[in-house]
Formats: sequence, C-alpha cells, structure tokens
Amino acid sequence: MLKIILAAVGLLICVYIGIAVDNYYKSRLNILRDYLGFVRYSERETEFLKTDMPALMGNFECKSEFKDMLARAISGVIEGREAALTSDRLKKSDLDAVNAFMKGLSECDYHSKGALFRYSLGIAEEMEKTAEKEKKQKGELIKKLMFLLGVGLVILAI
Amino acid sequence: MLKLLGEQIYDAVVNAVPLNAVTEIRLRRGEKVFVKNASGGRFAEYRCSSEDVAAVLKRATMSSLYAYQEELKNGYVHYSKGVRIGVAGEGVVESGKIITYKNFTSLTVRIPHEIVGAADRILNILNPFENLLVISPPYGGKTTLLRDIARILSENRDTLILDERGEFFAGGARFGPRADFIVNTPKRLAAEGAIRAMNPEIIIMDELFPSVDMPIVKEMVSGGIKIAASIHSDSVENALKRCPEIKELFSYAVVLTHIPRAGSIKSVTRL
Repeated sequence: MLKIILAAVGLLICVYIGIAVDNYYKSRLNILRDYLGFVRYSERETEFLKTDMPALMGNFECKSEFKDMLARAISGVIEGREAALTSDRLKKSDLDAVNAFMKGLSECDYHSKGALFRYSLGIAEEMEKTAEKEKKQKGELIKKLMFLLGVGLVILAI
Repeated sequence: MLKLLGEQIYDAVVNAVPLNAVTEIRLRRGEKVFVKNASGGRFAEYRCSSEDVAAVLKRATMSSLYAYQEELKNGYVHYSKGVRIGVAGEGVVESGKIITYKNFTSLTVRIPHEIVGAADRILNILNPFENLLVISPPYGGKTTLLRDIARILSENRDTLILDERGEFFAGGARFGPRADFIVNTPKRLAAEGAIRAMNPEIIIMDELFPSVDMPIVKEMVSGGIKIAASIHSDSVENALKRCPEIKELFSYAVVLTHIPRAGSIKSVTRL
C-alpha cells in the first residue's frame, strides 16, 4: 500500500515538473511573441503619430509578462535612464536583444529609426521561431517524458 | 525643473539665481552653466559635460528623439509648461534643408513666466481692438506681453491662439473663457483650417517670420480677422525696413526693450 502511495506521489511530482518545464517554455514564447508585437506596434505608432516611448510602453496591450516588464521600466525612461527590461523567463541573449532595441529606440532620431526597426524585427522574428521550436522540442518533450517517468515509477512500484 | 536638469545642474542653478526668477539656462559643452533672470545673468558653479547636455536632451524628449523631428529641424524641442529648449550642434543637411541635428553641443532652456498685468499699460489700445504688432529684440518679453494680451482679449472676444512652440501655457497660464488654442503646429499649416473651422474674432501669433508668415497675416486681415502678433526687431523703423507690409496690416506697434529689464515698453506707435 505504501509503495502505491509513494508511486502515486512520484507520478504527481513528475507530472508537476513536466508541466512546470512546459510552462516555462510556453511563457518564454508568449513574452517573445508579445515583444515581436511590440516592435511592430512601435513601428506603426512612431511613424504616424510620433508617439513617445513612455506612451508606447504604457499603452501596449498584451497578456504575457511582457506588459509588466514594460510597466516597470517606464519611470526610468521618463527620467532619461535606459529602459532596462528584466525577466527571469528570458535567456540572457534574448533579454540583451530586447534591451538593445529599447536602447536603440531611446537614441534614434526620426530618420534612423527605420533601420532600427528593420534590424530588430528580423531579430525578434528569429527569437520567436527559436522559442517556438524549443517549446515543442524541449518543453512538450520533457512534459511527456516526465509523465512517462511517473508512469514507469508506478509500474515499478506495483 | 529638477526632473529636466538633473540634481547637479539644478543645484548649481538655484545657487546662482533663485529658481522662480530664472528665465533662461544655457548649457554649453565644457563650459560653466550660465543662468539668466530678467535683469541679467551669471555663471553657476558647474561645468557642463557632453554627457550632461545629452542627458538633459534625453529627459526633455523622454528618450524619444524621433518624436521631436519637426521641432529639431527648427532648432528646438518643447518641454512641459511652455519651457522651450533651443539646441545647437552639428546640422544634418539633405537637399539644401536641415533635416535634424546631431552631436548636440549647447542647449538653451527658456523658462516662460506668466506676468498677469503685463499688458495693463496698453489697455487703452486693446479696447476697441485694432491690429497690434509687438516689436521686440530677443529676450525682450514679447511672448509674455502677447500672453497677457490674449488673456485680456479672450475675456469677451473669441480669441484663437496659434501657439507654434507651446510657449503660451507658461506654468499653467490662465486665459479668458473664450480662448481657443492650436498648439505645436506651424502657423502657415494651422491658419487656413483655423480660420474656416474656428471662426475667430482675433488671432494671436508669436514671432512672425515675414517671408513665411506675411501672406497668412494678409489673408487673415483681408478676411476681417483682427490680429495681435510679434516680430523680432529693435524699432519700428527697422521692422518696417524688414517688412514694409507691416504699415498696411497693423494699426499699432508696441516696441519692447530688455533695458532696464525684459518686458519694458519703449514706445507705442500708431502706424
């Protein structure tokens, strides 16, 4: 009986770990999708309405953690500091790319922003593709493997 | 002002001149900050670096230089409450026109002050109102006088203020209940729509540039709209040399001087 209970607990832990890993990749993908949306939104807004950075960051609507990342950085932008976005969900290289875009936006003028957007859109699309691939290849795979490991534990215990 | 200048420059400025009296702050790369009030100016004990100049500009534009392109082309950016920041640096020229500035070396922060009653001395020519031109050298107080004229006239006449550089709202300046504003838009672009759509009795315009703005003024005057405007010059004679049409378009000229202090009326002339 004890063995069955332990096996069930083991199964639950494995499933939980699998779901947590999958969620990590899922939320990373969502952030990068919203970042790509933000770059596109910024391109439109800065072209037609010349919207300033605090308004861009405050008005952008999305469901992922990216909204909070922007909200945390607005006061720094108003005070003339760098818009340093932080997140424990993104890889360092992704976060660096996001912050490089924000820095570029805070320094470019009307004529140089076109080049910034072209470059940043390419990078953001690449980052989104990689994150999507990793979610499938790592997140979903690990979730399945952890479930199978849990089932294996139950079988072994029985 | 603290938000705009940053702590070090702000401290140096207020140590040089009390903040409520400051009318202009000049930041030059590698030089001491120069602070002006209505009766003169003095150096503050702080030497500006190129980083200081860049940081002030960044705060003024809220890190959004791209959004200030039209203003930069004209050599300034506007900040809140009517504060205007003139820029100097390396111009970027394309097809014979300045498209922007880069490598900024100097900033001139102009802080407008609302002086209620500045136009009291010329009240007798405001009612009945006839076209009025304020003639003043730079720093003579023409915007301050025009702002007060706008305040008085908008009490009982539909008064449209074409505020090209966002200077009329100095520190939340008050106007009459019949004032309308078109802000941060070049006069020549705003004029046609404004006349047709807003149907004003009086239009207030700052800093006429004769070659660009006189056709608009002519159009307004021939359309029966009254005008109060200002122009850079130091006397009626020199203003007429610069722009002979003034004589036909305006009824009165008020000449200002900065001696003994900005806003002093030198003469009022019937044209």
